[in-house]
Amino acid sequence: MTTPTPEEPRDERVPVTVLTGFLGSGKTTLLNRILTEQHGLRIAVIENEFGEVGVDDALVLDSEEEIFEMNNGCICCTVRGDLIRILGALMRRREKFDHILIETTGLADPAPVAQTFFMDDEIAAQLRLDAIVTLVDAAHVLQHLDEVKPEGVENEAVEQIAFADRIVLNKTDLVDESAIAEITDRIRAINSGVQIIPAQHAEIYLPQVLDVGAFDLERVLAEDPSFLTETEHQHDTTVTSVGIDLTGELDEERLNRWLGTLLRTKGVDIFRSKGILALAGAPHSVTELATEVGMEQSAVSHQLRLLRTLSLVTGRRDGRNRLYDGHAAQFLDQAVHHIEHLRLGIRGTP
Amino acid sequence: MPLGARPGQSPQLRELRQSVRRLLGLDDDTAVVIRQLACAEPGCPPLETVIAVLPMNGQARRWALHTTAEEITEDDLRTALLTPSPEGA
Repeated sequence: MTTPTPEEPRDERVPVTVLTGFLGSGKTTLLNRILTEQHGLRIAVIENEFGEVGVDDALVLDSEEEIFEMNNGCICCTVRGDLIRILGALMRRREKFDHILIETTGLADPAPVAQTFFMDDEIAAQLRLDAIVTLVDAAHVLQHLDEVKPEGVENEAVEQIAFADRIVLNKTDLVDESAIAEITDRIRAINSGVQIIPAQHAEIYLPQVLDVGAFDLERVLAEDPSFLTETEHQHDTTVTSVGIDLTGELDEERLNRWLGTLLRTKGVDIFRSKGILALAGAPHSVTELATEVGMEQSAVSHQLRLLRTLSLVTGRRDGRNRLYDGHAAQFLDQAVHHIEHLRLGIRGTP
Repeated sequence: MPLGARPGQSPQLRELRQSVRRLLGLDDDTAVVIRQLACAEPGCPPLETVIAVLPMNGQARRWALHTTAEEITEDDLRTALLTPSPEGA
């Protein structure tokens, strides 16, 4: 049994922010702000293009975009070779920085950048993709989104918005309110859940984009409790989203087969997928248990601590998370049932 | 990482990575990425192990072994890595 502790252990992995955005959207301006503002963080920067970053003492490295296929022609398995090399070298100087920021070229595809952090267990154990931040130029974004590309050529502006966890809608001083409303609608049609931060001259409150844990489900839920249940989406003619909400547990092998077929036949059409899966026999996180039994996470954590003390459930620690067997949900259900009955003065078993 | 796995280093992959480094005599600046991937080609076993070697300066190389990482023996690895024409990047 794991000894209960009052606090879950901290995630010691280095957070990585990916800064993307179309040419001229203000990435370098934002980068300069991030590097010069007094936030107390030591940030290592990996640059894809020559910016005008003139900051003393910052660790700035250049890289040339190199798409590397992990297996033959599989669109879902492309990583950025340049990043793998540089990240490996950076991790040997781990003590020199607290955060990594990757600035990509305006035309970079965000998919291989994101996949780089999930493709290799050594990278995933040391680094945590914190958020993909996309800068959007309010004066030119509609023109970029509407640009018709030749058959088979991706519209990068659409992809960068589809992949974003945070969008900095920059240069709002150059357009009127109706244009901002239209741009917001267009962004929401491509990526309904994204947080949009309006800005002028890339002036934003940095905690809105740094160390936001956008890839961390518990933090996403804390910010947007409807994240898992919201399935209403507006539709764009080119990019749409699909939500699948099922009760019960999934057979991992059948799910893998289904995902394999989906990626093989529709891989090129899928920008991004997110999900919480209850796999049969797999351990459950506190978030999943809370969803399963319909209780607040803090209440579930409290109950689980009691159950652990009584040796009724065991939980193993994994980074900041603690994972439990599926039967913990059953115990919690029973506990809730008892509490409700005790409150009503009824005794009995579920 | 299999589906549902949380980040953490697998001891098997770590060992495999060390063997790759030793057999190819790689320096610390060379990144080695090992990943088990579902193979989409007909007739392939469901999982293949892809090994990528990315030196800081120079061409990246990649090998695909048509078996799970767990089943790869030192001999399999030596034969695959020392074959004269690895699949390029």
